Amino acid sequence: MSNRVTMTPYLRAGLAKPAPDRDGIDAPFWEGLRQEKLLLQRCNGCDRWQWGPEFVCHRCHSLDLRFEETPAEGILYSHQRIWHPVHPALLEQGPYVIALVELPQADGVRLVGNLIGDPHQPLIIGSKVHGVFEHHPDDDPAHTLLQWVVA
Amino acid sequence: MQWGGGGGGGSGAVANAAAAIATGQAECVVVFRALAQGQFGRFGQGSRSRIVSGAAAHTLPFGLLSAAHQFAMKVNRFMHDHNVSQEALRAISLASYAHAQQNPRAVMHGRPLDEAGYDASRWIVEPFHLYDCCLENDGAAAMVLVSAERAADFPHRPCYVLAAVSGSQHRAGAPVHNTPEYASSSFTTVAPRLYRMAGLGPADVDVLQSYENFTGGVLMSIVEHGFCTAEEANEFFTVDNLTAPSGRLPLNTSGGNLAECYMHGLGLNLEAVRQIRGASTAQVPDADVAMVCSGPMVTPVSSSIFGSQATL
Repeated sequence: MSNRVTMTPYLRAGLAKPAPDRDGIDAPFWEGLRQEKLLLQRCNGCDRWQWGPEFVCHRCHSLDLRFEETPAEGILYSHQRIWHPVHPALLEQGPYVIALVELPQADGVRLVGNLIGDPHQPLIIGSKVHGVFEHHPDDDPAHTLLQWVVA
Repeated sequence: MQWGGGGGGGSGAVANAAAAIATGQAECVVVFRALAQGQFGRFGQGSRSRIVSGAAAHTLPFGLLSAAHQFAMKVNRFMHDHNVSQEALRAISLASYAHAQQNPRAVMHGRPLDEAGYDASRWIVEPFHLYDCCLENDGAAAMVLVSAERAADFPHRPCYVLAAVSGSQHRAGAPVHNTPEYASSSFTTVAPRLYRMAGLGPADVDVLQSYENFTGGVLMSIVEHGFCTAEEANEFFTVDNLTAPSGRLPLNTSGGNLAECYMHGLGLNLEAVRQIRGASTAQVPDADVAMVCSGPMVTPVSSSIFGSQATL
């Protein structure tokens, strides 16, 4: 999917912008999002996925890990609808929704993002969701956020 | 020694103090906490960082900013998995506010809360209404620990540390909300060790002080300490059951973090001591065993059990 032109940011500008970690461990993830690809960490020792990125496989303790593409398709594992603004950028935002998304095709690792659309929408654990790439090319640093929408 | 960020170390600090005394490293230990949010920043506000990396880069840009945001999804998942109703959270809040009305030291003394007031209060983040969230206040709390022999010389009735343990769960600190036991208060390994150390079980506990950063953490703490199963929660969590003097499990009898004072939960330990001494403003008659659960949903967490002379 490509929403490069039409996707407007879900949240108002002014929140913290993400940058790859200085140790480089999550750089492929952020680079991948800019290319509209979801790249997560996978172990060359036991072939299992893990997230967030670590220097060691938490299962088999291998130090040999890679980044690999996985479909941005998941299940709503949990959610929260936030009402009270705790940051100046959100004073005029109104309610917004954060999703915790489980990826069955990647050993059930979870990602945090916004569940875009009507902030008053019903939030149903177990709903199928798919990813939407929210580009911020003019920010410093330029970056892309992976957001989610109910499928 | 220090304990970090939130309240997970409240009973762990008591454990450290008791260990230091038992092993001869110290004769007298003061466990204390002092907070000045007014001058140095409100805990309920979000980070103002402009650029973030590491784990924060995967949460802050989505508006996941505060402690309430950190924990709400755990509670939503737990309530979903076990069909726990909003009324269970409400009962926790109302019990704290009811007890605060008896406690002249409580921030919310003179400001009672009823079901309608709770229901009408604004959402902070679902499932937390305003009254499901701890206070932001300045203050201080301290407790003095000495050996049992020395305590016998003091003017006040001694209160004994029967157990105090700190710990966590497998990969509880896994990054970006990937901890395996997600819908948890993190007490599943601590609670059995606590009871083993005390030689007691949940049925022996006369009164409970359970850290409310948010009511949902109390819900899971009480389940994980074996007072009821998750499936029994809707029946167990009623104001009657949770209120002194005659409730099944009087809870947060000073008003707790919700309605007395938020001091990273150390006020809960003080209230447990008051109950054992018979000095609470919401006294449970003949309380011999008082328990504290410190800092649910963080890692590590800790719990403690205090007893009267009769429990030795």
